[in-house]
Amino acid sequence: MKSIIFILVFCFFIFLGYLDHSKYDIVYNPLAYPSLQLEKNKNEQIQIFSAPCSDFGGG
Amino acid sequence: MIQEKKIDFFTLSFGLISSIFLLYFLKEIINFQHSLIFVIGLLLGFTLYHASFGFTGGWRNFIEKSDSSALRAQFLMLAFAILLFSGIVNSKSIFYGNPVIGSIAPTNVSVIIGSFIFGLAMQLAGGCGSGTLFTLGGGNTKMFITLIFFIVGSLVGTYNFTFWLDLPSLGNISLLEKFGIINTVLIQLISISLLYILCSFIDKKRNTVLNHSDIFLSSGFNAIKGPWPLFLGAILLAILNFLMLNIAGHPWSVTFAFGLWGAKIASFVGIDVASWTFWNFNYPKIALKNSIFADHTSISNIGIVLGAVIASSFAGSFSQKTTTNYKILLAAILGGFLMGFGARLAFGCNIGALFSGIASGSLHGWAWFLFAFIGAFFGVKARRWFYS
Repeated sequence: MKSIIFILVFCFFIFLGYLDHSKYDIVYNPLAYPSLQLEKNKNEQIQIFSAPCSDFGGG
Repeated sequence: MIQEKKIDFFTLSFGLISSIFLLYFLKEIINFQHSLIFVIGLLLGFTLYHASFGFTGGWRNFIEKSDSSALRAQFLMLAFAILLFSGIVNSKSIFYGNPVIGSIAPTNVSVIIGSFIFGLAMQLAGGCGSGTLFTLGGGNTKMFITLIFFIVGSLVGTYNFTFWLDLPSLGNISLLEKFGIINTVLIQLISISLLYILCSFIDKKRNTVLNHSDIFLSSGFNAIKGPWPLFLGAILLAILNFLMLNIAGHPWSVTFAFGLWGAKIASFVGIDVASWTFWNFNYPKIALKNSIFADHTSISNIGIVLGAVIASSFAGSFSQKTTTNYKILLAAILGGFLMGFGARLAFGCNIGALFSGIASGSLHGWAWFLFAFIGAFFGVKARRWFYS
């Protein structure tokens, strides 16, 4: 019973994630254009690549 | 005679099928790197569960019983991660050649306050950042409540974020930039060795006997069904964090995703989080506009939960019953909320700030460790009321 409830809750959240994905899609994929963006704006690129770290350490 | 538990094939099938589906989905819809990050998440969850590698219980054992085994394993993990990270942080990925950034954050008053709150709260909740995810994946119902309030706390922590940033600060202090690679490695390894010796001394003084090999052993070791010795967990976590660094371009982190999930839900119900300063910083702004599956932290977190589902199914302990009453639920709510809030103020949790911060040579990681430990000391005292 516990497994079934867990599966249902997990799938519900993944479904919410999929709805979000359908709504926003991929605006910017930080790993797709490394060198190009680095040339354009080094500071911004570092922040994007640092991803959740950004200026603020670990996510 | 201990009866061996049977593999839970039903839950195992779910864990494996969902993992394969998400792996394929991420590869097709996002890219190959994202599917690799998901695989790292799965392996992290599997390792965390089988090695029972939690910061919360380990720190509590030391505070209450002077049992230093988990702390010693954590020191070994940090030492190994420092050796792996120091040559590559601020350099380029060994796989993709893209820039690799460490977890560097300001050492300021908000780190002190946030880590203290986090250390206290994780004792109430009974799990830290990674602990919440892998115990949830192990079928612990209470952790679902903790996670929900972790998300709420993380979101609240992003509101008025600049107030905390403006508090007195020493700024970003990267030991690697200040002292160079060799000196930083030496300084950090010596510090960790001293802490290892201090904890061992306290343990031996109180418990008379100290067996340093205890972290290398586990009763009934089984690679698939567990349990694993703490040492194996420590080494694998350091290696997986190093792989995360090279594939994602940044070290392993957990709590950013919680704030992001909270912000997405808040936006959905009409709260204008996009106008908050935090969500206008470079990466958070992109993450908020992007698909949740494009966020590295989100997909590694999902991987950790599923990795733990698979591990606990192999161990036959997914449906293990846990005691719950109103006091324990209150601890889960309070602990979850305060962990989320504290993690935002402290620029991360025990993973993003402590593990990845120290491995990246950031001073804020050490400050986080100190003040979270002090917070945990008070948390252990407070916990007695909730769990009595």
